[in-house]
Amino acid sequence: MSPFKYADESIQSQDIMIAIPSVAIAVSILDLPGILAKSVRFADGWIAIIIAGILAVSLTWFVAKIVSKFPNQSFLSYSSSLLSKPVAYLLTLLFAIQGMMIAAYEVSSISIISKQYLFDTTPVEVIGLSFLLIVVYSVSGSRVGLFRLNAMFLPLIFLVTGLLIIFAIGFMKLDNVLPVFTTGINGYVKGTIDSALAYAGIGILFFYIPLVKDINKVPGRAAFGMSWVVLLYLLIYLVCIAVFGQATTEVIRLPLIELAKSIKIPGGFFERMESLFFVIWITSIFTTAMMTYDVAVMALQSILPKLKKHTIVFGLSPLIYFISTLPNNFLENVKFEEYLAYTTSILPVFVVIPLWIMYGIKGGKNRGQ
Amino acid sequence: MDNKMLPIMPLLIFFLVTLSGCWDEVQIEERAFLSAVAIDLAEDDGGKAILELTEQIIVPAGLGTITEPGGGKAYRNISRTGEGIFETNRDISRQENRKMDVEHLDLVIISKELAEQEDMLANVLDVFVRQEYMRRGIFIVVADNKAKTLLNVEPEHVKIPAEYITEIMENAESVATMKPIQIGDVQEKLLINRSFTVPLLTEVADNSIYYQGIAVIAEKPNKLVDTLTGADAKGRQFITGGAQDGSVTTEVEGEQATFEITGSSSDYKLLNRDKNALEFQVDISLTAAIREYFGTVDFYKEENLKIFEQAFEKEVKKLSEIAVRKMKDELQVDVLDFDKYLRIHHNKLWNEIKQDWDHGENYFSESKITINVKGTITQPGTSVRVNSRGD
Repeated sequence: MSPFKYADESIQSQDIMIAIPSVAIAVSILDLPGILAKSVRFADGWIAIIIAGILAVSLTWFVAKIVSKFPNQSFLSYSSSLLSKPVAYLLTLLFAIQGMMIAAYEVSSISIISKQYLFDTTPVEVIGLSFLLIVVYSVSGSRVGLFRLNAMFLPLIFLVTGLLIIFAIGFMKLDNVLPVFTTGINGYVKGTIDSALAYAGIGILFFYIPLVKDINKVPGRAAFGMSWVVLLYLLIYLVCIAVFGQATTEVIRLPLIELAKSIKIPGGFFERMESLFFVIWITSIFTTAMMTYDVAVMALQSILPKLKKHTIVFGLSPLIYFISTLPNNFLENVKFEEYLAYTTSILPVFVVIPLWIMYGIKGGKNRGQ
Repeated sequence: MDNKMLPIMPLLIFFLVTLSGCWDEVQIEERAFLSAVAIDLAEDDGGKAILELTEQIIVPAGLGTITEPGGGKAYRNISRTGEGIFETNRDISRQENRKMDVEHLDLVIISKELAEQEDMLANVLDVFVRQEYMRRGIFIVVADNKAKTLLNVEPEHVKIPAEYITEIMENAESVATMKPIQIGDVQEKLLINRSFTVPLLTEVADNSIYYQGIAVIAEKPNKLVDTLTGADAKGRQFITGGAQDGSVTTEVEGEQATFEITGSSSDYKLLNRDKNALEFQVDISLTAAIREYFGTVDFYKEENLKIFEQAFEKEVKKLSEIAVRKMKDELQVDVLDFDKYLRIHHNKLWNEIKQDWDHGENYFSESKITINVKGTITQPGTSVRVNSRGD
């Protein structure tokens, strides 16, 4: 198989703008409203989503800003110039492991969720394998192709979720949203942490931004891309609370799927639309798995420059498949998600802070290298 | 073709077959569509209740198409008894040659006898909320007698009894009926520990079902405590502002007049903060049209219209006060939405008293409720009168 060559093998800043929400939006779009409803009363979770959103958007900006000072350098090279070589190798390895873990988590949850809602008799392992094979296929091709795929799927995700929200208007009840501001401060803190964990995927910026041509525009556009996610989460959360009420949202495992199941499209002709919605949300999980897999490949490539890309891609796939089969049921899957959410949110923070500090100390000496 | 591709061709063909999703394929001819479920209490031997589950399965051949209606029955009812719904359902499937499909289930009927057992309603509804293929939009109704008899009522113009019942619920032209309640709403009420209401249906003939009124499910003990019909039900609908288009009949200067409700809303106010003697004021505002009048007063005159409005207001107030007496003093169960009002507008107070709102201390029964009614007659009908008696 020879990979398809695109006419322009380069990434623009708007590709980053699209990649950020594509990676951030994954399984959390399905379960965030339920998680928030556990700690925050009535519809007060919007505050938590916005506070966490502002944090995520600013973190995105800070990451993008520092990385954009090193065009055409790999993460390994600019981090070793700022933080010394061993640290750079360690961080690169951590990002590689994290990318693999996220990809494995997405494979594992897609197989568990779609077995529950779509494929009753198909074994989980088969669903996971077929999903992973497509991810592997996409990653083994051209890197620009991944960004094209994101640009194709992301509008669909927003469009379909928007449609769902419009259809749900008839089922909303104002009583469910009121009263406002009744949550205690602890509830807000817990809710903010929970929603901050949903804004994952900032880590990909360390690797992709150096490839961008118009690198000066990247920080603003990346932050703008993250703000779409804030908006989407906010809308989904409010709609779920307005339709189900807080007490019910709290006990529903995947409120967004349940929402798709409860709406009826006026006219009575189109019913049972949730399979269609579900297919679109699977693409959002697919793009996340694909991008994080690719980051893992990139990170390993920079550590082991002698290996061919295809060798790394095909070498990682059995490992990822193995990790993805480790959670046996949804409970273990949720635990996997929790651990992963903490590490994916914390790692970029722990990388970007030393980078900025060292950049401040060493000054802009390395600029434009 | 590239020769290098040849060895992987068999593999690709294998994937083509396995990845097309045929694993879960069930042909539509092999599905048995379930349209309604009726749950009765078979026997109660002390500790464990034995349920009788009746399922209505669509027979597509009997249904036919719009242009070619099928002959014969379009449904078949199967009953089995057992301890749990899911288990009994699987037992029923032993009588069924097709795979049971619950995705089009629209209706769950529960017998009054079963709902009167403590916690039974929540227990039997669990399976409908838990199963991922079921909808949250399934309607819940309570049957006055046996639930399964409702599934045998076959009107001349509708082929499937379940469809007939769901259409009755949606076709609300009486004040004494409520909006249909869905299983998602019931789950919410059970989760936030509130009392709620469910439509009450009864069979009146082999081919007819009557929407009798409203069943009241108390929070604690969690069971059906009473049913509201007539004035009780009408008054409740006026107070909650949920009166759908329906009518009120009263006497205006000795002659009978019937008003049709065209719009209804209500506004709650809490007048004090003393939780042991809360005082509520409910302002009901209604718009109505005159539909039937046996007298001859000319209501195109302003002062006469006032008389009509006053008579109308008085009647609505009377009905509402009957409902308050029934709910507050007799049943001591709040299905008049005062809980919702307190939760939204007086959240602090509500958090203090919600544990003992309509049971235990029962602050609800100790409260005082004043009803004010504002009625506006918007349409007097097309003709002033049909006779000239009394002139």
